[in-house]
Amino acid sequence: MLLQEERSLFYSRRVIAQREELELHFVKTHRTHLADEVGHVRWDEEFDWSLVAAAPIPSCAK
Amino acid sequence: MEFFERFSGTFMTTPWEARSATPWLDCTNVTRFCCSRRLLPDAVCRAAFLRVLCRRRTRVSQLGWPRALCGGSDAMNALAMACLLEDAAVDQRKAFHSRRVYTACLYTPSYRVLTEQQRLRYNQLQALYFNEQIMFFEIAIGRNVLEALLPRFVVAATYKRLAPVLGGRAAAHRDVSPIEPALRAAILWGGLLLFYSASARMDGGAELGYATPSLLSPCSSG
Repeated sequence: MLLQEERSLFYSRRVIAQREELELHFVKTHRTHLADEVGHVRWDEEFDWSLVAAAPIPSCAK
Repeated sequence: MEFFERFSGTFMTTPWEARSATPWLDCTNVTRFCCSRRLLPDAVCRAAFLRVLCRRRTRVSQLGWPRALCGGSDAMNALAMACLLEDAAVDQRKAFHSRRVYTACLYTPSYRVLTEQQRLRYNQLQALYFNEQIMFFEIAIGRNVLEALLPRFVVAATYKRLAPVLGGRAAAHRDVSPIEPALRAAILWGGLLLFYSASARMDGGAELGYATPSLLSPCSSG
């Protein structure tokens, strides 16, 4: 999933970099999505995956 | 405004099975409709908007504008989405995606025989496919995976931060049960504190699209 997120970021940046040549709606769509997507990728840095793996599943999540 | 009213009135009360049958959420139908009705930006907006609502677990408090979009970093996305909805028709004469980085058949013999008009149309269809793919991952996979991870992560991270305060078994990360009721409460507000989408730098420079530094220090396992 993170690979897809990173891939999306890469393409969105390229679209914005070439915004003069591309259709306005698609550029704006990618700008909107990029702003949201950056936060998703950063979540991975904030996650402590070892804790997630070691933590018990709370009963409310079962 | 019509979009928000339709969204709040229809989507939140429609079961998932019925939603997949609606034209604006069915990925296979988006391509068919967007060429003539300019539905792609609209559909992508809905996908992004859906995520904002789901992440905040917020219901629309009044017709027209959800509370979740009235403040914080998400307000920026709301403004961008509103602009999308109000813009003019799609310019079919322009490419939808970068030809240099997103022309899968660029080096094939078949691509060389295409006319310029056909190459442009190919680029547009590829761009639509790419956006549909993003929508599929966001709606069908990303949301489900993150929601499944959320309770476990918040429990672990909260316990890790509370452990020095509680003392005693500070290193016993596996033993969460003594404070589980408190952690369950923490889950409710922890999502708002830990899972937010920060503003990105959208224009210019080498840091285009990169987020500002996190306000939260990451939890370490040590």
